[in-house]
Amino acid sequence: MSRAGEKTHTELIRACLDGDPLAWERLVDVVTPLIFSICATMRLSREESYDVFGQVSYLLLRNLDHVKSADRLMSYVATMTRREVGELRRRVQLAERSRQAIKRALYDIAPESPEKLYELTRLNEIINRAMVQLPERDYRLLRALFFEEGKPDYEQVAARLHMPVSSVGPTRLRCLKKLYRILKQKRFER
Amino acid sequence: MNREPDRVELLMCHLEGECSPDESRRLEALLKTDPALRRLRDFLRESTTSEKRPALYELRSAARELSARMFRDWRRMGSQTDPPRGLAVYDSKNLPIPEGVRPAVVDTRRLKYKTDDMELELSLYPVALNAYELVGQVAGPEITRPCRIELKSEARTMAAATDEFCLFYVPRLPVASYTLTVLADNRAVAVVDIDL
Repeated sequence: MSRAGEKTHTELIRACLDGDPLAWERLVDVVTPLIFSICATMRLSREESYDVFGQVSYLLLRNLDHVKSADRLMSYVATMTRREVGELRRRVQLAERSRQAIKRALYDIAPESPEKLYELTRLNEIINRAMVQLPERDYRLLRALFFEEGKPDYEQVAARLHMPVSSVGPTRLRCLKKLYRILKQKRFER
Repeated sequence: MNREPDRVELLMCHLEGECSPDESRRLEALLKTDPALRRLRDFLRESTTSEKRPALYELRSAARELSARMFRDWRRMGSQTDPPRGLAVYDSKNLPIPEGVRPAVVDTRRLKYKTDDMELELSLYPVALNAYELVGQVAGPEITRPCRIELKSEARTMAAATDEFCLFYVPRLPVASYTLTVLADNRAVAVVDIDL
């Protein structure tokens, strides 16, 4: 397993603290899938997700010097995202209830218990924490395949990552094996 | 497959519906004792049901724009802490218009700013080609009583007072760049920059 990812993210954090806007852009790019995946799991609308994103980005920016490693970064972002989602839900509880009812009616989604939703956000956090331990190329492939909207288009993913379409499937399997090894090795318990 | 598939291969086979009954039973047994494999299975299962996810991909550029501005303002703020400068944490201007919605319908703008101790929310409604109606609300531990809002541009200074709900109202705010200051007991508790 490569530790390069972790070094890169630690360096990014340091560069952000030194005022490098490109490092901040890159760092935001790393945490965005986690924030939005938690928002998606909690069935937030796009406006609410954007709202949570803004709040979490603010908190991250103001607390960058306390986040020293890639693992800590993902854990912090996940915790803050869940907290902000909770805040948002408390603020708009009534509106949320009716919106959920409409969503359920539209998409036929069975209502899930808060415990189940929490479990799902924890799962997203753990997977993201493991993913940032992967080499950059593997991370980008899994992100493109599992954290982007809709069914992944292998041709587009292959073109974006400069790889033959035929190797997307086998590479995906290799990446998932690496991810599994990280999950097994690190456990990611609190 | 000539060789015995490893755990991840077996899992992928199962998720793609290509496992034999024997392989499925073997996988079930493995899942009972292997939490990492269970997590991978749960994640893959959840992420392949993409219809559950709202269309968040389109938010990426809005998120990038907002965070870049936040960083720029944060750097500009430097070590200035008194009065604290608010950073924009929400700007509906960056959000893409939902498909099928005419631009005129969403011509209002919502902005949110944040300091460590205060939140400021602004809603802007166009009342003319070059002017907005502004409704705002301040919230924070220091905002315990009605306070004053000052809006300064190069051309003018405007003022408003908050009510008991910390709401304030400016009926006609000409398009310009403003510095908005929140004053509690005549002391500036927050400053934000607004570009209309």
